[in-house]
Amino acid sequence: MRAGRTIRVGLTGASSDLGRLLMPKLLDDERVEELVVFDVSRPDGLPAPVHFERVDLLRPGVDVELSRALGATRVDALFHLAFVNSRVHRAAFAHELEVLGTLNVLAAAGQARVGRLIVPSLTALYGARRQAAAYLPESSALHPVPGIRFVNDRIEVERAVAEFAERFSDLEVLTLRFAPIVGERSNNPFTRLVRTKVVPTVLGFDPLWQVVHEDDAARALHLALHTRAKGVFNIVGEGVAPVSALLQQAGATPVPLPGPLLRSAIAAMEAAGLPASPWALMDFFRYAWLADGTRAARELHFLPHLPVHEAMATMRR
Amino acid sequence: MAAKRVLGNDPFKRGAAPRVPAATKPVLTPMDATARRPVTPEVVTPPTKPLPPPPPVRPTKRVGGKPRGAEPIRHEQTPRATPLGPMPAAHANTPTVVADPVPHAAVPTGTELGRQPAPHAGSPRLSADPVAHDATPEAFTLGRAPARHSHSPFVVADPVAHAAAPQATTIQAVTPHAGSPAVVVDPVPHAGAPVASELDAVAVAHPHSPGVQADPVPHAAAPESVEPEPSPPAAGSLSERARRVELRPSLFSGDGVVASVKGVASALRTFLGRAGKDARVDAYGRDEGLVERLQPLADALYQRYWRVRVEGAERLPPGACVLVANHAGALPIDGPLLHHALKRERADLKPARWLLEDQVFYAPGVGVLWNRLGAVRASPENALQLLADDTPIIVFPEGLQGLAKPFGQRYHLQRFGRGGYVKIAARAGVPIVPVAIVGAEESVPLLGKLPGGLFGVEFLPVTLPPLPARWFIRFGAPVEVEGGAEAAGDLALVQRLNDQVRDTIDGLLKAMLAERSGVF
Repeated sequence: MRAGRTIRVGLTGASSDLGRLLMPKLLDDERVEELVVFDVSRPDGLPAPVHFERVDLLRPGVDVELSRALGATRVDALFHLAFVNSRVHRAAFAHELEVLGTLNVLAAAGQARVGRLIVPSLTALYGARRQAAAYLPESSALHPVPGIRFVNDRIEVERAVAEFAERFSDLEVLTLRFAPIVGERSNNPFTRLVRTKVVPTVLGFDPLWQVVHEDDAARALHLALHTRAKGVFNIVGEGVAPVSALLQQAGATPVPLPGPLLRSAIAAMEAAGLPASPWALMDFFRYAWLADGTRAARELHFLPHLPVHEAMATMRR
Repeated sequence: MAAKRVLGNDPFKRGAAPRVPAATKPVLTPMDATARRPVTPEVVTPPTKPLPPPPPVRPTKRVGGKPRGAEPIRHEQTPRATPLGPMPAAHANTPTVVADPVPHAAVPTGTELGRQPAPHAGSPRLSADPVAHDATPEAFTLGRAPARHSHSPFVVADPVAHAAAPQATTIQAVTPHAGSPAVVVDPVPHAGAPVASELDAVAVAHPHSPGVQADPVPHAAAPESVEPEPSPPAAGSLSERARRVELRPSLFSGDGVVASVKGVASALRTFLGRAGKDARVDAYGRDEGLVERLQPLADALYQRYWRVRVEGAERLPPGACVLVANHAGALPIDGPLLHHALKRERADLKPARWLLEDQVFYAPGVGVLWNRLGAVRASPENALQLLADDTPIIVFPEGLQGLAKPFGQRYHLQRFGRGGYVKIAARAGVPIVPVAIVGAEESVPLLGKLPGGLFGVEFLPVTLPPLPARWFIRFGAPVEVEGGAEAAGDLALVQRLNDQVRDTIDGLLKAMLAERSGVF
């Protein structure tokens, strides 16, 4: 945006995976005049040139506080990356941070008239469905997965962001829906699954998956800062692969189990009170869920560097 | 061949076979035929052939696929060895016919083939001759050289055929009979062989035969009468046949078997979801590596087991099109087979993708394997995307109903849905090509259905391991959808085209079934 002008960039969730990957890129970017991090405490190892503002996204009335801070630091563009990807023992906390935190950020951004808001999301929100087209465009409906907070909270977030974009149509709002992000430094449900080494899958099904490498993901976020485009973009890596091949490329072993057996095993674990992945999640191992990344390529000029098998190979170490 | 008795009794075969008029086939005029004959006379060496030892003729069941494969065309001739003796006589009667040597002479010159391919298209593959059927059991053995020679006089009858033979150059190398396929052109001879009296008829027939060859009617078959007057062999596919006859030596070697086994192992791993980390798939899930590993097996099945014959592949327009085919058989093997046929016949096109109904696409194991081989889930978005990439798509508008009909209703077209493929063709601006496939129903007859809820499928088909029925694939004339994208919204037009395409396929099917001389 506005070539030749420097911009001031705000960032929430600096210590999240994406935040840590994105920050070096922003610091290297000479068009970024200043980087302001909003967080509940100063992240470890925050580089010196970064301006830190203490903000607790969960505190009542934080939206006023945040909008004042945004105004004071004259932020032109705000990355809202405060989402919980790591394993959480208190789902309620994650839910509040993601949904209520986002609502607070949106309220503040609207009040402070931040020129550009960039929010990450997931292609998993499309759901894995029998009836879906092979490649889902950004306009596809989002489908909650019963029992999966990780997906359902983000759908609520997306809804709020879409409403915000509609209401403040003069502001530039970009939502980037990422395919599962993989890489050595990433820690999200998918990478944890891969790292368990033995992954039960559904026998007789081997759907196509996409992934995106963490470096590519960070690059896409960075591109979103300077583009003229706005709206929703699918950010996917190059190529697709059957999930069994994906897992093996990353050094994990898929163990295909007969569907009925798997289903009863899950039911039994649930009945016994053991932690179990809900059966609904197994749809991701039965039906393809591929997003169409052509819009990002066309308007965001995002071209992934790593093909899917190389991205997965980075997980081996 | 007991099976033949059971399954070969096709209702469609009864009564007059509706003939599909061959669209303008340039035919060999008798003149041409005669003109050519002179060349061969000297070659004629009937002496050698007259006494083919009966035993060779009989070689029933040559285990080797070779003989059979060598000669896809059903040469059901002379089941009984006896006939051969008379043959020479026949020659005497019909000197012109004797051209027999011609074939050989012609062989070297591959050039001729090029000229004549069109005329014989249909005829060879379908031997209309009823007599021939009787003989069929032995037909398998015919491929053998000795037998062939003994019969050769008949063969001679058709110079054109020989001309065509050269195409199959590879064959010759393998088997002396390269030419033989061409022989098929004249059904009469075969019929006659057993009985001396018939032979006379044959002799008569031969004189005509040259002219007959010219006959544009695609399907040679004159079921009712031995006389040639019926419909002579049709044009068109001779050259195609000859090509099809090509043998791939590798199929017979140990390497071929090993390669096939490896391919199957690979497919099995894919089926079980253990394709391995080196599996690379394209955007729609086709695994080129797996396809290549299965190539030896696919070729063997295609050439030797099902002896697929394709007609009219040249009608496909360059670039994308919507191929509409009948769906049949208990197992959905028609998609991959048609896909394979296109790959062989029209290598200039992008590999076609076939669209699968959900019930098959999500059938555990099968769906995955098919997807890796090139199937795509049937949805308008996928179809349009593929067409935009210049990929021909194969659709089976009958959907699961085509697969679910009992064996008793084989080749009865089911409802063609709502014509979604017409709308897709209209929106993409590509022609629709009707395709009729015969052979699937007998290869994998649907004998019963078991509940398949446990496996997530609508029913589990009860069938036999794929039987070696012969397959025929015929492409109809492309249908252009006038009006472009707007036509997609014109429901009346869509329905009309839908019916038209369905009728075309129905007509093709009926004609092919009538022409088919036997199931196996």
